[in-house]
Amino acid sequence: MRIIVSIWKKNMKKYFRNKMESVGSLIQPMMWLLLFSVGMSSFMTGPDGAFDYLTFVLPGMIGFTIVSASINGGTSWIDERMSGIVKTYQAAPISRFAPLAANVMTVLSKVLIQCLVILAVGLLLGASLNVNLISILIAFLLVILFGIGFSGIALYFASKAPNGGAYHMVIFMFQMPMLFFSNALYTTAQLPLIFKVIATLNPMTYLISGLRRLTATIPSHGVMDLIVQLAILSVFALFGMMIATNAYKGIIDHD
Amino acid sequence: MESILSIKEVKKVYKDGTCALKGISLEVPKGCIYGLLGPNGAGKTTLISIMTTLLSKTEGKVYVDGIDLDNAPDTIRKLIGVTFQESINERDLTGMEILISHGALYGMRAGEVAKRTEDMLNMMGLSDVANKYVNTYSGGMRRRLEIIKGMMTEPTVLFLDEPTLGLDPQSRHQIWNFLKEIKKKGTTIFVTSHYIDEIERNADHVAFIDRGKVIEQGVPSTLTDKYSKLNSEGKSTLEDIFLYFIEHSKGGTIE
Repeated sequence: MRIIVSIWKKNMKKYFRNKMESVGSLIQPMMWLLLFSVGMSSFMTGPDGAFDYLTFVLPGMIGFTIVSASINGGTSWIDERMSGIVKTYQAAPISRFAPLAANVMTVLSKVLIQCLVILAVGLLLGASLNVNLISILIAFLLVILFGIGFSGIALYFASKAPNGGAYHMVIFMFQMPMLFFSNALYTTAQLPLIFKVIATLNPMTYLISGLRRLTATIPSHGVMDLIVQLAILSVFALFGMMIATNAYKGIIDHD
Repeated sequence: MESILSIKEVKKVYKDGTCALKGISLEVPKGCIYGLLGPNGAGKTTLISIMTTLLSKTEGKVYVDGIDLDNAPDTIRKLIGVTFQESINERDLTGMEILISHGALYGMRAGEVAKRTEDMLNMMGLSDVANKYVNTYSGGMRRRLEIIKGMMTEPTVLFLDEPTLGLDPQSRHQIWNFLKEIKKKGTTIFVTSHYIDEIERNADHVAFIDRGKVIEQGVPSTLTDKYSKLNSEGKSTLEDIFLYFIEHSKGGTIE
């Protein structure tokens, strides 16, 4: 654990010192939130304006932010691979899992900062949140599980890709579909059948349903139970870490 | 003389079928500077990657200080230091922060790192810039810091892959002086280089490899005596021998 914390501290130091990255990572979720809430709410609220779209879309923005942060975590990983830092980890007497875990911890730390920004901006814009300590803790757990899972996918491709360009080409194929084939921007009931099926297979749907249930005062996906959401996201997290660890081990004979 | 590093019939066939090493055997005496010479693509980096546990081998055995690489790679990682061809590229960290984070991988605390690297930074002329960001360093300064990284854990064997590549004569001189100093303390240094004159001046033993096979090895002065007739003046250098071998080598044997 000490090794993981040590690598995480180094990563966070680099993040805070890189102003373009740290400031950009705070502005980006605000922009998405403004775009999807203020910008799109007129299409979504209905003629009577009764539907609180801002509150509805807030968990979706958190999910999308996790996906973006995980993709950036993969970018850092491929940069470290290309510049020989990963080789340094591999030649050191540390657990093979430690650098990956540190990368995921870094992503989650950045995500938590970004989530606070999203919530603060959401509240300022008038979102209605039902916040209590237990809800926050469970919401936090959902965010962590989804973050681990998608970071694992990003790290898998970042370990396999021959260069940054190839990594981005593949990983960006996930980013927008994760958003649009889910309940982030609209309820899945409105989707055509095939999209509904894809949304059911998309782990982000379960994250957002859980977050809506926990934090929003408006009714959310009624079918899914919080335990099922936690279970599905736990399996997703496990899957992500498994494929990332296998891909990392594969770097040894990659060339 | 006692061997610290023993390589026995090591073969490496990559997944695409490329046979990079065709049965390399070397005995590296304890406490010496051992130079590995060969043209591009000869298999030098492949061999160093296997010995530093970054790459699996297809066949053969590697022992470091009597420890079998197959049975105890983690123990071997504690015994070795590695300086890769890539230069440090963590632009948002200072030289000292890089050393501290590297030391943490080996269980060293910040105070211990500062104490242990003080002399090394002096010898390498980096004391005054240790607390400056590495993006302000020249290429030579980064290489010197990278070598300190490899040496700061006080390894039994230090592996250096092209440590002076692309550096000015002053930096090269500084690096070789440093290596000769640490050799005096009993560290074995295994180095690959394209600068054959440097190896001739500084190495105690050399091996020539070409197309994955050792084609000659021995003490530099013994080899230059043995092949003295290659030069019209009867004073061959290692470079003359190297060029002769490269011209006449057919898959590891001399015509």
